[in-house]
Amino acid sequence: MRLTRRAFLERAAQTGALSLAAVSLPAWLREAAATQRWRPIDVLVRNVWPEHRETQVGALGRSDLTPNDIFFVRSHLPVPQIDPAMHRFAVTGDVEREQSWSLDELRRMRAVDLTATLECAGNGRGLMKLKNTSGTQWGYGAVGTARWRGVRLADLIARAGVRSSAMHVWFEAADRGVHPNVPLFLRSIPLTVATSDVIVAYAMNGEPLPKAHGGPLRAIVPGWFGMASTKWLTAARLAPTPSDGHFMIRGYRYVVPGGDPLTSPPVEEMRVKSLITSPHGDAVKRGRLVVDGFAWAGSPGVRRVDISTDDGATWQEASLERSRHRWAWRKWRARVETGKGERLVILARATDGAGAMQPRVAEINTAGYANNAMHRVTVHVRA
Amino acid sequence: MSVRSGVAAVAVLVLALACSPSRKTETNIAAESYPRELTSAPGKDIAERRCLACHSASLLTQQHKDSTAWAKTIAQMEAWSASLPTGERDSLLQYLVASQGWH
Repeated sequence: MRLTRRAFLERAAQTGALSLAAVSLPAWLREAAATQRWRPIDVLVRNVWPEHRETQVGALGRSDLTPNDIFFVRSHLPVPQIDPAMHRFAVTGDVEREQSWSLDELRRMRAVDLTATLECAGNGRGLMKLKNTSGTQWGYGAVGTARWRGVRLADLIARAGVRSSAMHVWFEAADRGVHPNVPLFLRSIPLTVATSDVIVAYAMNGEPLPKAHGGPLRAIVPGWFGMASTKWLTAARLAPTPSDGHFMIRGYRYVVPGGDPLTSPPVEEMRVKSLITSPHGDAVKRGRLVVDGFAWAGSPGVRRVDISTDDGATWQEASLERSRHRWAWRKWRARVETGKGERLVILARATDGAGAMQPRVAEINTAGYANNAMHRVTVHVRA
Repeated sequence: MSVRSGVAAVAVLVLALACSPSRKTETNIAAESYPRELTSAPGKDIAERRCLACHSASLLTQQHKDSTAWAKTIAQMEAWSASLPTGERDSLLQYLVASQGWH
């Protein structure tokens, strides 16, 4: 059996054999074992509990749909234990007749497959290097795309019958803080948004919605940052006014230094953004280099992606795949010629359908939201 | 390292590999980004007692703030749980500034 050095090391790591023989091994083997350099990580655990997990860019680039077990996770509060057999979803508040359904009943209704990209509003916060900011210091990977299956919220609201006083839909959920004083994760979206493409989802990439991702039921509000897609959904309550909860009026606001969250604009739709998924190593071979990535946006969609290999001095348009799903990221690709010894600084810049372009530098706000500054990757060209 | 012990080490490895069940490396690798234990410094015991009931230590070890900002955070956390006795609050603030200060 012929094993490459890489495969040999992988097998050794699996068996724990390295720990046995470590002390008497030659230096090259000892070092490789210690750093696991031959196997890049897929997920960075940003917090152990409640779980915050960030997908690594290389792992994102492996597939159009992000597998459930590496899809990013962010939870303000602990994961609630919900018995799916007992779980119900209700439409309540400013409606003609309040309704509720079991999971089985929801699954028997007309199902919709919604392939959509979710990005955490705090994605990129860590790159802003803000002083004194709370909140997870995400890099590039608090984003993912999945095929969500569920029922259109519009259908469920229609069954309850909207009253004319209803303007907003509050998403009630099962998660609770450890202490009773911890505010609920209670947010709302405008009724006009709720009755467009929003679904109440019970499946993710062909599997029942995992607990960490909101199982058994969550909202998916496509085109908006991820906090709008409430997990562990129990009800949609229609009301004349928006939510007054902490995570609506103080959290998720674009606050300038010295500003007050209560009077600051809310974080809502995703900003146009792109990711370079390849190359992601330090060195590339001389010759033709293929640069790959994804691009996404809010409701205007992505119009074009341009890349630069000279840190923004010149740009070339990347070829963008046709839009197969309105709310999902799109793959793009560019080909560049490289010379030996060159140092390439690659930038990707997406422009959305309304003409908004990614900035060079993140727009500063005190909580570090919506960093859509261009992704910059440096590679060295060897012979 | 002598040649004989080097050969023995490799032999141990080869033997272990030969006995291992063959399986595809499907597992996704996860790595923790921040220390999962609080930094040792005076006042650490207060942080352990008061802070870790609701979230793990890594939520603290990833944040770096100045004194004013940590005081604000402590006040917010008190509002969401329970007030600290003044002495404890002061010690906790000192601990956070010392171990998770902004530099």
